[in-house]
Order: sequence, then C-alpha cells, then structure tokens
Amino acid sequence: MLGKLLKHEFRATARMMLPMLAVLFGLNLLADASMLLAEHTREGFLAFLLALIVGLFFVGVIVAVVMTLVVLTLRFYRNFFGDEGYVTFTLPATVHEQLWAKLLAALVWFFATMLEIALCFGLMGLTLSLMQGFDFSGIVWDNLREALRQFGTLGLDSLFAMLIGTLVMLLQLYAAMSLGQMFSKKVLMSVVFFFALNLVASILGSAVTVPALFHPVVSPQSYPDAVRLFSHLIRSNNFTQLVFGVALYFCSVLCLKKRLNLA
Amino acid sequence: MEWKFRSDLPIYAQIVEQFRQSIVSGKLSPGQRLESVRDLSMEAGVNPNTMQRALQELEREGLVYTQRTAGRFVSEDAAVIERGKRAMAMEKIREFLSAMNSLGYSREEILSLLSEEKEEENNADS
Amino acid sequence: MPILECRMLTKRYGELAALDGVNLAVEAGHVVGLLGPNGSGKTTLIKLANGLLSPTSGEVLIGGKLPGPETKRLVSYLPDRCCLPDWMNSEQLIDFYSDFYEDFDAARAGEMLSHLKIDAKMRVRAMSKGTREKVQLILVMSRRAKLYLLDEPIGGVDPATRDYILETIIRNYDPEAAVVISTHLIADVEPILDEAVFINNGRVVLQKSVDELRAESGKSVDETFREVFRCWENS
Repeated sequence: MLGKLLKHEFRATARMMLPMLAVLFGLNLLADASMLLAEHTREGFLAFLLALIVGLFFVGVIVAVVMTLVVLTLRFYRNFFGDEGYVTFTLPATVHEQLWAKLLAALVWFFATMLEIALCFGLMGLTLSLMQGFDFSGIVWDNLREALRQFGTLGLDSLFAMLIGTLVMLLQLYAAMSLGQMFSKKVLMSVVFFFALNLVASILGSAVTVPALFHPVVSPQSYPDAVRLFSHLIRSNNFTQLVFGVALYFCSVLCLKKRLNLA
Repeated sequence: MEWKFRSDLPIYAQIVEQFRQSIVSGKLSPGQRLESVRDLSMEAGVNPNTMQRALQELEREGLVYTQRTAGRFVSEDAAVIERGKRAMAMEKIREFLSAMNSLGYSREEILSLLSEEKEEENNADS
Repeated sequence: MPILECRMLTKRYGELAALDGVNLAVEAGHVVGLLGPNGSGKTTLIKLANGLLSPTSGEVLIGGKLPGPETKRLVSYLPDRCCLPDWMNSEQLIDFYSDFYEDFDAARAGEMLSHLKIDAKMRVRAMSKGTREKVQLILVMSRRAKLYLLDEPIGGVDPATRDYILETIIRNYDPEAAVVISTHLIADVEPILDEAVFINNGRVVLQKSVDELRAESGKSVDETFREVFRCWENS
C-alpha cells in the first residue's frame, strides 16, 4: 500500500515539480551561456542584459526553493484536509502509510531540488573556469578535498543533520497543519501552530545546546580540537531533532486518527 | 410494459396485479419468456427483491413458472389463466357492486340499469 | 452477520449529540434508506462507518470489524460533494481506483463512461458539476464492494441524471452486498428500497421494511415520513 501511495504521490507532485526543475536548469544554461557571451562583448547594454539573465538564475534558485516548499505544503493540506480527504482517508491504508508516503515523497523532491541547485552552481563554476582560463573548479575541488580530509566524520554528521533537519521541518509543517485542521479556522490555526512549534523547537534547541556547552563532559578541555567539539554538538543536536521529529510524527498521527475534521 | 405505481399499496402487490392483468388479457402470451429479475426491476425502477417477491407470488398462483436454466415463462395452462381471469373479473364485480350499494341501489335496480346500458349499446351499434 | 452494525453508537460534540445510542443492523442483499431531515445525523453515521470519525461511545462494525484499512477495502463511499482531484481525468481516476481497490472493475467503469459520452481525457476541473457527479458515481458503483454508502446521491441533480443514478443502483444489485442510501428526497428513492430507517436528532425513530410500512399505513413511505416528522416538529 505504501508503494502505491508513493507512486500516486509522485504523480501528483511531479506535474508541478518537474517543470519547475526543468525551468531552473534551463535558466542555468542560459545564465552560463550569458556569462560566456559576456566575456566576448564590449557593448555595455548587451553586457547589462546578460548580467540580468545571470541574476534571473539566482532569483530562480530562490523561487525554486520557495516553490518546492509551497507545492509540498499545499499538496499535504489539500490531499488530507480538503475535499480530496474524503477519498484519501477512505483508501485501505493506515494513517502511518499515508504520512510516510507524504514524508518520503517530500524528502525526495527536496533533495532533488537541492541536488539540482548544487549541480547548477557546479556548472556555473565550470563555466567560470572555462572563461579566461580561470581555474575556478580546480580551486573549489582542492578546497573540498582538503576540507573532507580535515573534517572526516563531521561531514557525515553534517549530512545526517541535513537529512534530519529537512525531515523535522517537514514534520513541523505537517504537525502544524494536522493540529490546525481540528479547528474551524483551519488555515489560521495551522499558521499559529507552526509558529508555536517553531518556538518549541528553538527552546528545545537552546535548552539542549547551551548546557551541552558547559557540561563537564563537553567542556573545551575534554575536546582537544574544535572539530571533535563541533562533531559532538552536531550529534547532540541531531539527537534532539530526532526526538522532536518523533514527537511531531506521533502528534500528527493522533490528530489524523482521532480528530479528523473534514466537513 | 408501462409501470406506474400508487403510493398507498406495497409495490410488490402492484407488480403482481399488473402482471396478472397482462397475462389474463393476453398481452403476455402463454409460454412467453419473461426477462430476468434484474432487467425487469431496472425497467420498473424497483428493488430487485421486490420484483423477485412479486414473481414468486405469481409462481405460487401458477401464472408463471421457472425452468431452471432457461428462465421464467408465462404459464401455458389455459385453465389456470382462465381461472385467474375469472378471479379478477369477480373482484371487479365485487368492487362494482359495493360501489353501487354505497350509492343506494338494490340488486334489481342494478340489473335493470345494466339491461338499459346494454340496450343503448345495441342501438348505438345498429 | 450483518454487513453494517451499529451498537449504541454515540457521537458527541461537546453538549450536542450528533448521534445518540443508535442501534442498527443492515444485512446483505438489502437496500436501506437512511431517511431524515438535514442535521439528523445521517452524514455523521456514514462518516463513522467510513472511519472518518471516531465514536464517543458505542461501536460501528463493518462485517463484524471496527473501521480500519480492512473494512475500507469492503466499503465504497459516495460523499455528498465532489471530492475528485481536479487535475485528474477519468482515465487517471480509473487507474487510481484500480490500484487501490482490488474489487474495482475498470472495464465496467469505462463502459459507463462511454455510455454517458464522457470524454476519458477530460480533466475534472473542466467538467460541469453534473458530469463530475456522474463520474464520482461511476467510480463508486464500479466497485464490487460489500457495503455501498451513498450520501445524498440524488440531491441537486436533474431528473434524467437522477433516473440514471437509481437505475445504476438497481443494475449493480448484488445479493451479497448492502446499499445504504442517505437522503431527504424520499419519494424518488422509495421504489428501490427494501427498508426504511427514519432518523432524527441523532436517534433512530423507526426501522421497517417498505412493504410493511405501506401495507400497515396504506400510505407511501414518503407520506409516513412527513407525518412522523411533522409530529416531531410540533412536539
């Protein structure tokens, strides 16, 4: 059942996401071409136009991130709490399956967008290095390799932090909407709950991180180098995020099971 | 068949009545095959259980019979049909007599009115 | 075992009882009318049977089980409003339903669509209200479910569509399934009902076979309903 839900989840969201990703990539290609063109032109006005196109790409990046968030949020809200909910929640699937289908599909799209953005910047770097023999990518590559060697597991922890961070952000959105739909002013209450959960998240965050800084186990003395300190901080933050995420998950499940308010 | 139902009688009873009418009047010929319960109930716009109940009633009266795989047929037994026709006629007569009685006519008066009517008909024909 | 059973089913919203101690049993092969004025609890009962709401007390059982993914497999639900995603077309909808419901008969659905001359490639958002309702009905009736819950299937449709809907319900009749039709338009639906359940203020007022009702009272169910509820209004 989860597989089927995922399949249809992708179908429903791909119609918005794929064109958006395609447009972003197209903008990037245009921007790269513009940069190469700009190198060979003397004319001020043309150079200005080309710079505009490059600027458009950067705007596009921001739009892509925002749009991803909007598309996924709207999808969740409409499919669960709009009229579509009558179909969704009479399907022979458990609430857990329904939630995970949304979560996993959203994660995939998020990472797809992030990956494409990284790729686009990489392409830009490549373009830059093609221009005037400026070995931009070479510099980036050397630094990256050095950083990886230096930071070791920190990289892995950071990656994990990104994954957990995205997951928790999604769960926060979902929990806020699941809580908000219980009331008659669904959208308003969802926004209220979102900010409330944000508050809880930051309180939790500092409640754990600050003492962690002063705890004897964590004190700068026991950590000879900054890397291991950061690693520890990231890991403890990951842990609290995970716990928070689990709480958000079960909060959503409860709302969907017991307090579904469709009419 | 045209199906029209009144609101004050159970529908199955009205279906039985309509079938009886069609069979004794010859509109449905002896041995004619009836459509399936599903088709009949769709035609009449009624619940299949209701139609089934009506057909079972007709079977009980002998006006209709079922042949396992072949379906339902109107009875070919002329005597049964004649009996049914007579029974319906008697019912109509009883209704007529009761209506006339409530108007205050006696038996003799009813009979003379009937022969009057017959005479008028004969005159109209000739 | 009854296909649908309610035992002292109660749903409260604060002080208000949308359903109050409802006892009901619907057997296979029956077409039951859930008849009552607006706000009587008909929709609440149907949503409880669907698992869209949780009871305050008492229970609702489908095929002897509490509402959950298992029972949702057996139930085909027609809501009182259009709930189809507006970006999908009929072809995609048929694919969707085929995927999630084993008992969905895609061929039958396709037949009904072409019979009604509905373009399989037309998106829901481009359809007229009447067409949307027909498509929803086709999807619901193309399932070989054990329980059909139809919430106001003929409210607000033109007479030709209404006839088509009633005809489809009859054509679809399955002696192993039960159909519950919730409506306040009783006269139209009466000929296809086996049983009538009158409900008001969250309570079942009457549950009888339609034949019995007519034989006992010499009136149609519609007329009996008006009488019963006129008394309620005046009391």
